Amino acid sequence: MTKGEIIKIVVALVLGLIIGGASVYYVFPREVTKTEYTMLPEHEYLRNKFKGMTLRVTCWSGPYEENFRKAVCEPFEELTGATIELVPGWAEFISQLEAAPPDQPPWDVFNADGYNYLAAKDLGKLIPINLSNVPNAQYVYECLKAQRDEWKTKLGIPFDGGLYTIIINREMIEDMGLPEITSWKDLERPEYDGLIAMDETWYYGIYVGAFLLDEEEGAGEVYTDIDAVFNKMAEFKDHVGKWYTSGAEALQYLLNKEVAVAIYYTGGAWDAIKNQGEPLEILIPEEGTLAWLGSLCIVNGTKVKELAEAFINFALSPISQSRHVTLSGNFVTGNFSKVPDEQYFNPSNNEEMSKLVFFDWGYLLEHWTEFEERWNTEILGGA
Amino acid sequence: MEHGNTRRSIIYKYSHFFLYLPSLILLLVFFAVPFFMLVRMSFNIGRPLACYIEGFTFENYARFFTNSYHHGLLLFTLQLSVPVVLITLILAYIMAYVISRSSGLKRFVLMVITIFPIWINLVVLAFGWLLIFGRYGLINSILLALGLISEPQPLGYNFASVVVGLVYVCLPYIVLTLVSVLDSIDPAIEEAAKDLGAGKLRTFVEVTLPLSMPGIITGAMFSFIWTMSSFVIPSILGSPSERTFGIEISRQILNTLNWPYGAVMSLVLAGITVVAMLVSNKVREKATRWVS
Repeated sequence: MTKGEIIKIVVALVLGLIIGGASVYYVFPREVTKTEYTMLPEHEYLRNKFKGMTLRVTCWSGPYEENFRKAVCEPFEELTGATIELVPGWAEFISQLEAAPPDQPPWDVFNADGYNYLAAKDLGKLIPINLSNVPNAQYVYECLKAQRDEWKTKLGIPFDGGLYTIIINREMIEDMGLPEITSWKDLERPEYDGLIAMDETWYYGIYVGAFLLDEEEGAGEVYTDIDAVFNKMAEFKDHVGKWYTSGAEALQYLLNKEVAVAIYYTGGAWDAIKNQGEPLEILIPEEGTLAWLGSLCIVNGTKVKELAEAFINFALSPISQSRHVTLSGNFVTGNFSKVPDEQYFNPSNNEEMSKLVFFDWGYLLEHWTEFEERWNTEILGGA
Repeated sequence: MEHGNTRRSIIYKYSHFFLYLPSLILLLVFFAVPFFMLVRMSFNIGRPLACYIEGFTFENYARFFTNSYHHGLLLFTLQLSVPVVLITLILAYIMAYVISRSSGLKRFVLMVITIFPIWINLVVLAFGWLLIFGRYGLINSILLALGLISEPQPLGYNFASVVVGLVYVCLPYIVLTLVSVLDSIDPAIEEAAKDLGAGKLRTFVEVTLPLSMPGIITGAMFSFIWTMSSFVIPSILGSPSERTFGIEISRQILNTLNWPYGAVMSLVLAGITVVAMLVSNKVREKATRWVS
């Protein structure tokens, strides 16, 4: 055998390994198998109906997008033969929605948190969902059905959410010999001065102020004694070393050890812990935590409403929800979804879910300009 | 025959206009139209999370002119522009002078080094600086290793880091502007000054510097405009104390969803820029007249 032939064989073997590996990856990319898809009774029906169609869906950019794609979009594409065009975004959702012509919305399905839901609803950009096409909506926790405007109006169905809680860099805390944190009040200890990062947006800050006050159930001070909340935050701001404007920034501060603590979302932290092996830890303070809730909504002007409803139904199925919570670390809203044991911070039943404090966007909207200006002048102005 | 000549002369006369036409259309469609829409938007009714409500009101202007927090932001942004413009001009002039006086491979290498930052995304650059300025960043690590400090010093997230960031961003553009101006100065004039007995410093102060004044003014103008509308650098390298007018405009439009108020703030910023341009034009004219 000549030298040239040996080289050819080696090259062929390497190429074969690469192509083979890639094929295996593409055929079995997720932990969910084909068997699970075909267990769904409507499989053939969905395939016949939606094959070749395209659905445009928007969601948060970053790790959320990746996880949502893997947990919901790709399995749905395989199941139905439809194409999901996932358009990630952040602050520009509503501006894009408002700027688009009414009959040509930028997406068909809007994965919207409470703030974006309220804005889109007030602008008349959402249409009611036909629940008979979304039977999996029945699994949504009863406390959410009772509380949430999205459910009552049928303009959206609660899908997932995340906690806005205390995330620590365990390594830094140990290196610096900092005391353990079990409550929001621990953040006021002098050892943590300048080692805390928090969102500079006012509506996060006032809830943190209420938790620090801890006089009423479920951050009630936001609604009953806002002056006390602002006074508390005026004291607390001196402990804050970094005010961040985006999730990526918060994570960078934590990972670069600029701060030991970030008041931040569980989803982002979970991704860093799970996928990047970062020494972060999610803490649940004894006073409770704030949470955001995302709902799947259908955008006015869509030409594929039935496909959108099928997609939402699929996303709400226990299989999809279990996959989503496992991958993203965000909590999900349905009974029968399986929350991994390692996600001790996430609610896994109706009772736990009912203890979370959600933003009351209706109330916040009423006081928006007043609170925003107070926050800018009294808190950030002197930061 | 004569008729044909007349037609040709008309075409020749207006040929410049036809060449200019595509740019004119582009400007009209992508600047003038959005600008007038912005003006119109500023008179709509603004409410948080509502984007805008069709109407006509001076409420947004009244709110802006009575809002001390936003005046403070504007003042801060103007203050920020002073060190940025001055430091950028000094550094850029030195770099441009060296480039202008070099040739061949040396000039090529210096030019590449100068424009290299333009090739990299601003956000990536800014996050890269966090690794330098950070608590456990390059500078603190070196100082700690040398025993010059006992614990990490707060080098980032302050006024100085924002100034450094903005200077870095503006520098390549100003250097390029100044190089072209310095290149256009006839070396014979400098030679003549030397022949008449002027030393290197005097030649520079009395000949080169005045002749390059139009470039300096253009550079100052550019870095001023850049700083006034800066958004990425202050939001990544600064703290809320370094919040600029640009950041607040973006927040009003994308977060508060109060487009009319954001439009008013944008127009105020545009107005300041126009005034600055008019002033700089006057200064440039005077400088040119003085030099000639």
